[in-house]
Amino acid sequence: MPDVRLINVTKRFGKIIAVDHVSLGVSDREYVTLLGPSGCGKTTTLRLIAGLAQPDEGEIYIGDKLVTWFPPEDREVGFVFQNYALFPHMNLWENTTYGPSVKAWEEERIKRIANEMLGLVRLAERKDAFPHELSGGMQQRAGLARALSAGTNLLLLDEPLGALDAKIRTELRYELRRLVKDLGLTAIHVTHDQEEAMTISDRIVVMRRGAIEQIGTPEQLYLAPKTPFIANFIGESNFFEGSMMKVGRETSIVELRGGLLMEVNWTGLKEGDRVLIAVRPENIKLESYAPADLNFFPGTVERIRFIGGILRHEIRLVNDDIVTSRVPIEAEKKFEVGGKIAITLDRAKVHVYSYPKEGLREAIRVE
Amino acid sequence: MPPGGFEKRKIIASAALIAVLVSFLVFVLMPTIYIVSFTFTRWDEIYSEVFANPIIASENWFQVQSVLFFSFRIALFTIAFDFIFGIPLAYLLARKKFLGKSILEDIVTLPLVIPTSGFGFATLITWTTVSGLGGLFGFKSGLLNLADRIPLLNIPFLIFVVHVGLTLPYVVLTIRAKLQELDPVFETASRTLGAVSSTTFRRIVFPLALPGVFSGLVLAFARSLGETGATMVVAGVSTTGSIAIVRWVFEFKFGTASFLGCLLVVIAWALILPVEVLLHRKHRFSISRSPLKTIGMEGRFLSFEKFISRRLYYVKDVVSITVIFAIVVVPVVVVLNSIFPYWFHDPYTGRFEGGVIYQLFGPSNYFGALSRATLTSFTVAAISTYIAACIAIPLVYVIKRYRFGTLIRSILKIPLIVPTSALGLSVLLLWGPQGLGMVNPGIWLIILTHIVFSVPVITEPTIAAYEGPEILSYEESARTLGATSYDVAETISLPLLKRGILAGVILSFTHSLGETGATFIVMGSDLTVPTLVVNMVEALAIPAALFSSAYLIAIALVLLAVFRFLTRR
Repeated sequence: MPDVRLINVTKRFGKIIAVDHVSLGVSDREYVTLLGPSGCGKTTTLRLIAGLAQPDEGEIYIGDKLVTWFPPEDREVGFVFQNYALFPHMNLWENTTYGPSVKAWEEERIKRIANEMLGLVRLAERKDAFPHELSGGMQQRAGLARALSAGTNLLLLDEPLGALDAKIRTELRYELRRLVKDLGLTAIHVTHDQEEAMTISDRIVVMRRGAIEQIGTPEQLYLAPKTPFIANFIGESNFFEGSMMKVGRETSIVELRGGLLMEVNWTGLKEGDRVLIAVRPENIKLESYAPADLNFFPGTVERIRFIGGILRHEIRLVNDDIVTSRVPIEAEKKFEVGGKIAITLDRAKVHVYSYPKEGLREAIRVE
Repeated sequence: MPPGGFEKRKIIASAALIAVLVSFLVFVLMPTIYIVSFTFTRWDEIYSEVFANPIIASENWFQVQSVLFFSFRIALFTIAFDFIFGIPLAYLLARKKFLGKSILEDIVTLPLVIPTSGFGFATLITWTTVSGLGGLFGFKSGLLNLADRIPLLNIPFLIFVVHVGLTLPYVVLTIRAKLQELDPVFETASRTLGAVSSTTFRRIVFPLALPGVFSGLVLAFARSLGETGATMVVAGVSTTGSIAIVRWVFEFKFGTASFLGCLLVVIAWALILPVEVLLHRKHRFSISRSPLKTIGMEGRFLSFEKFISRRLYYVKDVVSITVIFAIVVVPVVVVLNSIFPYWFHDPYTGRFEGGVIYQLFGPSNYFGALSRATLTSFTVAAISTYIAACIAIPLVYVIKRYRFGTLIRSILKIPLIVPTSALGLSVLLLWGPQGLGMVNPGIWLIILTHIVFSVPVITEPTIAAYEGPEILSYEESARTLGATSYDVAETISLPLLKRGILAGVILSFTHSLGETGATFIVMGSDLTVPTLVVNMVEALAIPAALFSSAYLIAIALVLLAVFRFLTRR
C-alpha cells in the first residue's frame, strides 16, 4: 500500500539547491536507502517525504495520495531520528502510546499495540524507564517502537544508527531489516555509511549535490558503478588516467601514463578521447616481476597491511601511479616490502569512463 | 616555578577573593537585606507604630494589609495576562523566522530600557488624554479616566496596562531562552507521530519549557509587586505596596514603611529561592501525562486543537503582537508625536502657558531643573555603573570558580526583584541619618542605591556570555599550552567576555538613568530626570512632563540601539 513517489522535487535554501529535481519511486514493502556524503540532500529529501519541509517544486505521493502540502501529522509516516528524540519527560510507555493517544484511539487498542511494539523491540520489561536511564541502542529501539505504534506502514529513518557504538550499530542493522521485513513495512533509510547501506537495503539511492547519482541494488552499485564517484564512494577503486589509443570491434587499447597499455572492452569512446579507468583492489592480481606488457604492469611493493583475513598491498608502478590490491591472506605467492612485483588486470573487471571535465579529484570528491 | 612565587600568588589570590566578597557584602548584600534586620532590631518601635498606635490603634496595619492585597491582586492578573500573550510571543521569537523579527525583539526589550516614569506618563496620556487614542478615534476627551477600573477584576486599568508592559519582557525573554535551549526535534517527533501543532505545544513543548515559564512568571510577579516609577505616575488615588512605602517615608512613618518593605523583600525572596532550586536541579519537574485524560476530556480537546491548528493558527500571533504593540509602541509614538502640537501653546485652548516653551523657560523654569536633573542622572549612572562593573566582573569569576558561586548568583537576583522603593528605603536606613549616618540623602546616596541593582544587571549577561560551552574549552586549551590562570583571564576569558560585559554595562547605565522608585526615597534635593517627571505630573505641568518623557525615551532608544549594535552576532 504505501509506495512513495517523488516527481521532479526541488528544495532550495536561499541560493543553495538542497534537492535538485529529484524523481524517485519506492515500492511497497521495499527497503530503500538514501546514501551520500553529508550535504548531498538525502536528509532534506527524507524531511520532504515526512512533511517536515515543503518542496519549492514537484510533487510527492504516498500511496495514491498527493501529500505535497500535507502537514506531517496527516502523512501517516513513522519517523526515526538520529538522536532518538524520545520525549525526555515521558517514560517508555508514555512515549510509545503518545502517537495513538493523540490520534484518540480507544484505550484497549492503544494498550495492545504499544505492548506489541515494545515486545518486538525487546523492551517490554523496561516500559517504566525514562529515556535517560537507557543505553543508546535501547533508546533507538524505543524510538522505533514509538514510530511503529502510531500505526504506520511507512518508516522513515534519518541516520538511525549514526549515534551508536560500532558494535551495536552492526547488531541493530540486522534487527532493523528483519523487523521491517517481518512487519511488511516500506522503509526509507538515510545514511552516509556505505557499508550500512550495502547490508541493509533492497535498493540504494546514491545522492550527490542534491541529485541522484545512481539507483540500484547493492550488487549493481558495486559491480557496475555508473560514475567514477560511485566507483570510489561504494567500496574502493584504483583510478588510472589515460587516452584511447586504438578502438577495435570488441576491445580497445588505452594508453596510460608512462606508456603502459591496457586492453578494455568496447566502450563507444573514440580514439584520442581521454578516459578514466576504475579497478577494484580485489581485481588487481599480483604476479612475479616481469617486463611491462598488455594489462601487465611491473612495480615495487611500497607497503603491506594486514586487515583481518586480507593483505592490502600498496604498489608503486613503473609510471609512478600507486595502486592498491587486496588479496586473501592464504594466497600462494608472498611478497615483501621493497620487492619487485607486477600486477595483472582482467579487462572484464575494469570500468571505463570518459574523463570527467572537472578533473578526477573533483569528480570523486566526497564533500 | 619557585615555591616562594607560588606562595605569593596564593596570598594575592586570597586577598583578591576577600576584596571581591567584602565589596559584594557591603555594596550589594547588606543594603538589600538591611531592611529586614532593621525591622527585627527596632521591632518595639515598629510594633507600637503599626499595631498599637495610641491614636489610630492598628489602622496602619490595616493599611499595610490593604495595599499588600491590592498589589497581589494586580500582580496576579498581570502575570495571567503575561502568560496568555507572552507564550505565543516567546514561541514566535524562539522558533520562527519572519520579516521584522528583530523589530519585534526590540519592541519586547524596550520596556526593560525605557525609564519607568516616562513609560508611565506615556501610557497616561495615551489612554486618558485627547492627544492620545481619544483624539485618534475622534473623541473630545481621552478614551478613559484615570480612575477607570477593569470590570470584574476591579483593578485600575492604567496600572494594569503599565504592569503588563513592564513585566511582559521578563516572561517573553525567559521563556524564549528556555525554548531556544530545547531541541526542536521533540516537536518534529510529535508532529510525525500525528499530533497537530497545538497538541504538540500542550503535551511536549509546554511541559519541557515549564521551568522557564515558571521562572518567567515569578520574575514578572516580583517585578509587578515592586514596580514604583510608572505606577506612581498612573496610580491617581490608588496605592500599591511599593507606592505606599514612598508615601509613608515622606510622611515620616518610617516604622510602617520599613515593616511593609520588609514584608515585600521577604516575599520576593520566598518567591525566587524555590525557583532557583528547581531550575538548578537536574531532574525535571514536568507533566508527562495529560491532566485532561484524567478527567476524560482529552478526546474532545484533541479535536478542538485540530480545529484551531488548522483554522486559527495565526490568530494567536496576530493578537499577541497587537497587544504588545498597543501597550508598548503606541505610548512611545504618542509621546514623541505630541510634543510638536504642544510646542508653542496648548493646541486645544490656545493658551501659551500650556505650551512646552513657556513651561520650560517661563517662570517655573523647568528647563533649568531638567538640565540639573540630566547632569545628576548621568553622573549617577556613570559612577554607579563604573563601581558596579569593578565589583561585578571579578564577582563573575568568583561565581564560576567556587562552589558557593551559585549561592551568590541566587542572592544577586534579589536586588532585581525586591520592590525598588523598599530597596531605596533599605539603603536610606543603612547609610542615612537614621542608620550609620555616613551619607545624607542626595547624589551619593543615589549612587550607593544604584550600585546595588547595577551589580546583578552587569553580572547576568556576563555569566551568560561565560556559559557558552566554548569559553571553558578555550581556557583549558590555553592552560595546556602553558598559560597560568592569570594569563588565561587576561588573554582568553576577558576578550571573549567583552561582549557580555559591554551589554551589562549599557543595561546598567540605562537602568540607572531610568530608575525611579528607589531614587525617590534617597535623592533628597538632587532630582534625577525620571523623578522630575513624576514631580511634573504631580504639579500637573503636562507639557513639561511630555517634553521630559520624550527626552528620556529618546535617550533610551539611543541606548537600545547601541545595545543592539554591541550584542549583534
